Amino acid sequence: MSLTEEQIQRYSRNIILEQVGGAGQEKLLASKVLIVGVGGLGSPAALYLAAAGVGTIGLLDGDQVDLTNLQRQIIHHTADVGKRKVVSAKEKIEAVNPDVAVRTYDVWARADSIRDIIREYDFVIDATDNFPAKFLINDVCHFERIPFSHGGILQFEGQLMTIIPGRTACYRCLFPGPPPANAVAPCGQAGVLGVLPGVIGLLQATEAIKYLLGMGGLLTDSLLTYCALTMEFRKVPAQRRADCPLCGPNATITTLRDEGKVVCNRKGCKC
Amino acid sequence: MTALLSRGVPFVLGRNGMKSLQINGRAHQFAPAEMPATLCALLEKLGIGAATVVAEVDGRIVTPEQFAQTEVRDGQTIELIKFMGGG
Repeated sequence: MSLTEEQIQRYSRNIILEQVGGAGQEKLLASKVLIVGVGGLGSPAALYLAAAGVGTIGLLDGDQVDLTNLQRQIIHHTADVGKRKVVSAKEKIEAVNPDVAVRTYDVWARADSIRDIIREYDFVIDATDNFPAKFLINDVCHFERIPFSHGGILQFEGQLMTIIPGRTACYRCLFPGPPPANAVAPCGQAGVLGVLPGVIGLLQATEAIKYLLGMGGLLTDSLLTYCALTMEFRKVPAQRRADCPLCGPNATITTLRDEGKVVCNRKGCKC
Repeated sequence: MTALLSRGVPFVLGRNGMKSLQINGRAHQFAPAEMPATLCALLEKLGIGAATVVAEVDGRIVTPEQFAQTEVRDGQTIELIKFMGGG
């Protein structure tokens, strides 16, 4: 694939970077990234990856746009309330950059549906809003050996870590399983500062681009935490654990399963 | 000696006899009688719900079910890592 004149102009600020160049841009255009969850984290990630010229972007989310989403989920606009999230997001991506092929999956992340989808991609962004989905993505990516970025947010804080399955610490090396039901308040109850997922989602998108281009050092074997109140970023070392239930030598999780649904009685909440 | 101190060698006590823990990058001082004995006691002292975090003690991950049995000692480096499920 060679770049058209228009593409050379569109991506000129990427191409001018020595570490990207024309070859890097062609690589991005040939790359496939799946974004699971088109909400606070997924919105900025999707928009910037589209603008950067990631050629195929998959969007997986079974929800529809709600008025309470708009304070942070910037890919959805006021007129989109009630629309399927993947449809709303696809429209914006296509408006930003017609080079991008958007694939939509209007489903929830479940063990029986997500594996065949994930294996078609080069990199996955976990932008989900619940623990069962986060563990499921970690497990599927482990079995399929697909690299991904874990991201999570709560109130004023966020965290992310890049996982290269089989080589670097996985999500379960840090968190062996979900917290007990109701131990951690979901965003709907605890609140989240609207700008916060923008910071974390774009760091995840940065990791995706670096991975696709083989550029720089990835955020592997360490969890980056961010607190908006103190403006502190901290890198917490996270080593692969010999007793990791998923990627350790004596793994107990050998097949894909859904983690139990955490009980939450709040209307419309999936936490 | 400076190098030993910065690595938090357990037998080193501060000049004032206080015990110290490095928690999420910050030094916390405890009078010997106030020093929490276990991770469970430490979390209680800090007002952090035991089910909301995992801990890393000197680089080793400790899961919530081990908090009650995990002793806390002077000079340790402890990371308390929150479960963050939002997106």
